[in-house]
Amino acid sequence: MLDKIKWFWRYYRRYRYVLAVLILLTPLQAVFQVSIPRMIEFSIDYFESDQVPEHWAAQWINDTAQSLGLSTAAGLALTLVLLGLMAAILYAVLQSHRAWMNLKLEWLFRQDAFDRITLKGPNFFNQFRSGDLVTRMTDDVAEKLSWFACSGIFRLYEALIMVTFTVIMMTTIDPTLTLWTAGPLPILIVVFFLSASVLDKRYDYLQTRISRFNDVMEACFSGIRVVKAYVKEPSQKKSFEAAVQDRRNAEISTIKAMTVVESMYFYIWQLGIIIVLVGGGYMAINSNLSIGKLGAFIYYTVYLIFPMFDIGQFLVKSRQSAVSINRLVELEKIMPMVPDNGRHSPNGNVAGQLTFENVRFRFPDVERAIIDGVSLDIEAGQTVAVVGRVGSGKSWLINMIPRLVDPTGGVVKLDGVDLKQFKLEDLRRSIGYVPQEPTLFSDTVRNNILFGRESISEAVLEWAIDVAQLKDEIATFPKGLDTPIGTRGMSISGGQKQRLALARALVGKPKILILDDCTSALDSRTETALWEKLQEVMPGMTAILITHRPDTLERADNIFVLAEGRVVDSGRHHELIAREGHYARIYKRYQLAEEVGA
Amino acid sequence: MSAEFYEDEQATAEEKDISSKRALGRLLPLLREHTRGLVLCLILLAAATLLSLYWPILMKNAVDTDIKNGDFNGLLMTALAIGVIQVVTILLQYIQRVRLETIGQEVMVSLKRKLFNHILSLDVSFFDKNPVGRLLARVESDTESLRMLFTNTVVLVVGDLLLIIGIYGVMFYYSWRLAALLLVVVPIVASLVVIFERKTTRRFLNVRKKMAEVTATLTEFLHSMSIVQVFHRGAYARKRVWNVCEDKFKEDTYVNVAVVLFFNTVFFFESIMFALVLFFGDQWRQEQLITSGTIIMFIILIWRSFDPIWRVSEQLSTVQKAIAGAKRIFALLAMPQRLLDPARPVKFEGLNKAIRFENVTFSYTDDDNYALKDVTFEIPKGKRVALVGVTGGGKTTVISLLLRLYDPQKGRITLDGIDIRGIRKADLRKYFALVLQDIYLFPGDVASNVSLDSDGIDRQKVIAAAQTVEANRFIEKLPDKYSTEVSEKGSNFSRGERQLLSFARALASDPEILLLDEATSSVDPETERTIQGSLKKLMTGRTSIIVAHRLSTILDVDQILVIRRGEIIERGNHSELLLADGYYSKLFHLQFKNRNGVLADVG
Repeated sequence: MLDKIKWFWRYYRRYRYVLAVLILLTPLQAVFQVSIPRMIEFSIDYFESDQVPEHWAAQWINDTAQSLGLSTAAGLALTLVLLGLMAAILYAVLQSHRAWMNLKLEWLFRQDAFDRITLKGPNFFNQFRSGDLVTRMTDDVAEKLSWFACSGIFRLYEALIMVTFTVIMMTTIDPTLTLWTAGPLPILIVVFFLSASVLDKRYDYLQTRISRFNDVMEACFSGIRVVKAYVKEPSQKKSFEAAVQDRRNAEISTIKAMTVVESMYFYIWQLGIIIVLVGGGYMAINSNLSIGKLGAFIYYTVYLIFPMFDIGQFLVKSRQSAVSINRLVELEKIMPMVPDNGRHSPNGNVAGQLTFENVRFRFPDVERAIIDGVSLDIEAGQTVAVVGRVGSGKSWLINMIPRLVDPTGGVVKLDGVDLKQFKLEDLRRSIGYVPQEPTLFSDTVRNNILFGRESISEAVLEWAIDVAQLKDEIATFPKGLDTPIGTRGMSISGGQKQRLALARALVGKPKILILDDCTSALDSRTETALWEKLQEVMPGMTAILITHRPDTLERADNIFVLAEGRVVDSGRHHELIAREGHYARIYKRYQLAEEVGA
Repeated sequence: MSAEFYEDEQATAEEKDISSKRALGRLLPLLREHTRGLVLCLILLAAATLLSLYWPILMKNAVDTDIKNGDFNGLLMTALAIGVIQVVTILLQYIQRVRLETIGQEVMVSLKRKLFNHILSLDVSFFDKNPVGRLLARVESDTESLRMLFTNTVVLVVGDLLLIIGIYGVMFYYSWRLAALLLVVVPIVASLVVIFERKTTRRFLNVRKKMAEVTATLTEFLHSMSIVQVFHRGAYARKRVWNVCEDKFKEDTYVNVAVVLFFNTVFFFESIMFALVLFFGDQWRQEQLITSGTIIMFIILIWRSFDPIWRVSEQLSTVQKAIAGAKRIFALLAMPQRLLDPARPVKFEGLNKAIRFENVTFSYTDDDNYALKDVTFEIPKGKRVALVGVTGGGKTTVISLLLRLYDPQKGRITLDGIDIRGIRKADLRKYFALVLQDIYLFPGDVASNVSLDSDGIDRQKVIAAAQTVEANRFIEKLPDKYSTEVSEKGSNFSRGERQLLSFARALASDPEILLLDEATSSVDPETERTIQGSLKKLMTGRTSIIVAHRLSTILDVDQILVIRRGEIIERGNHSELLLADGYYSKLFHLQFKNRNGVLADVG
């Protein structure tokens, strides 16, 4: 509980002003609110007896009205309107602060979680699927947490204040009748809490039925080929029918429970009125109580009973939001794998010479090392290739260069300096990276290439597009560079995607270019043209590539052959082939694959 | 998931064709069979509403008669009467609400059923174009907003209108002057509702759109975090998320503040009305027309007259949502099935001679991006044919066309000379069994996934089929054996086990023709042997078309068709093709000639 409060405080403390408004205005507003029934009391009593009631407030209102040349009734009515106006204005201020705070907290919770995630390493993403993360940052945050974080808590506060003030007011009018009316309240809290939890359970159950219904449909639509091939439409209709009926029953039973609970709340209020009528009537008959006071008591029942509803709600929602908080805290527990505390800042003067010294990598708690003692040198300006079967560790090895992961043993050096000593930004700025899957965003072509790097000039952009062999194609797009692509835009071919990803890497004028087997959707003519162009425009650039293109391998200055996390061979293509070893076998397969067009 | 599809879509041309009135008009026939129930609901609603007007009158009597006369017994009787009336009102309301919601549910169940059946009848090409999430949104969210509209409209139009009229009726009866005075407030409050509606409806929908944008942005960045990191664009990603969150925050704040202002303004009108009653009640008391009881009654009636307003304002955006939903639903229902059954189907009672593809040309996208180009071949009954080639060459398309999941643009496919378009689809398909690379598992237990809930396949047949393909060995080790529930997408089974299950499924349906897309994934050698043995048993005595990835399969078949870029470039048996030393022999060395006898991924 204490840790939950601490967690909330982390966010709250930036908004002390809002908190102060909420804490102070709530009782102030309540004062105006609970005064309204007293004006009704005074008016009715004045109406009944033609005497201004003895209460000091009534006297004061009367005096003030007289001095303004107004009748007593007008004075009372006007006061009522003014009190109503103040109550409404203050309540509007309160509610809008609460709403603003709810929404601000929703944004903050989400932003904070996302900001943290942008720094996490692959161990984090192995543990949490992105769909799950999105749910935590949308449903949990919006539906369960943010409302509770402000409105939930402050409505409880408001309810408690309202009940307290109402009881105080009622007591000043008539303590005995107050006891009659407010006596059953503690029982009501229990009743309201219980009914809120019963409803909650029904809703949970209904939710499981809805999910099941959706599962049935999803399975049917996703497996439509099987359904059609096996002529299973009739049996799918049967499962649909079962699920939809099941759900319908759950819906109806939830509605029944909800209606019972709602009717109960309403009836409890009406019962309160009857209690006041009988008790107050008894006292009125024995002339202890005026009709006006009876009227005020009837009004006060509203202020007593409806806050109880908020208290019950709070108790139920607090349990749900505790679960949601835990789901967010869980994300905070895994620390980023790549700390950014280096200071070395070469200011763009990177030559591009890389050294791996006895580099190892394995996940904590996993026996087998993914990279198991790799040492290699890459001279500045060289084009080197890394080959190996699936699972040999190629991708992990090259991912160490931009520090997507850090080695768990040994060091990787750039121009003789340990990568960890670089400022992460400077290191990554000097690297261009083209991933295996050309991950693009649903945005315009331009924004996909620039990727938020606003300082890049139009000329450099054009240049990168030209080098990536995209110029002619983009000219045919409906809006050129500003054509949206992706889920909500134009669909482009796999080859175009890969070249876009390449342009994205080139536009930063990198000193080191990393290509992770990314040219598979290009035909070999385009790829050859690409290499020639690269050699011509960026002669000093170090290129590191994973590839299975024979042409590319033959062109490389050096090739490292990886197997089970170790470098088993290295050298130029013709040297390696001559050895007739592991490389020769792999190369032969690559060549065949090229020929059959795989 | 579905919320995204729900908010994020641009209206299609078909949806734009349907006007709002017509969309809602098409809903009426769905209500017809519930006419009696609806009438009952309306009567109950009217009764409850009118009855609920009676207890404030009794309150007045209690104050003016019982208390004034000092008659405590009379007061008790009145209080009892109030209690009874309230209980009866609540009971009537309960019955009415439950009835109405039940009808609402029934109507939506039949609408959902209609939608589901329609979607199910559409062609596979429809499913290629529409993501499952979108289809779920159609059946789920769109119908839900209609249901809310339906139940709320009935309560609103009938119940609340009657309530307002009743309240003013009672008021007029007891003091026409006060009532007339209060009536002035009605148009003011009503115009407030209208203004509020105008200012916020679009914004309400906007909030949902912005939220969908937040979700989409988060999803995209979370999906591609490594790219963000490698380009050191963390700050950019955070800024982008910041921007969409800010947009959503602004829109949502606007709506929320508007709601707060509206409610409190209306709330203030309550105070004004009280003050009017108190002030003018006092003015007119000399005429002995108004009593304290009347004033208390008016206060209670004023409270109640605000109930409908809270309800209306909560429902404002439902109308828009429901109309948009109805348009989408009816546009979908109007979508035609393309691969129709023939008007006068030819009877087909099993293959006697051969399956033939005659100059078949097909493109998934209806353009010149051909998946198959002028393909001709013949498979005599009982023979086995393997299709080989690299991924994307068109092997799977052959199987899809044979099942008539698509129709070719040119050429024809015949069974014993009968064009398959002349046979009813259900009649055609029941002679085939399809085994996919990875079995598609439906929610349910193991047995129902083998039998696919066919009436003709009982538990015994399921077990027999499982035994034949040796799937029984692992099934019997499961906690509930054949009744074990399949977890999501079958994650409780290994690859090898899933393959054996898919063989059992095919065998249980005992097809004449087997269509098999062999798995490319490798399994351990022992499982591999089991799979090969089971496969042999499965193919025995059946005409089989196999997209081959296993060495044993291509050695075993009668003919191999080598497909490349949609064309058959070589055909013959394994040794013939190998001798020819063409494309096949290269492919063979690449794909089949490795340790496990299973295609390994290249690269």
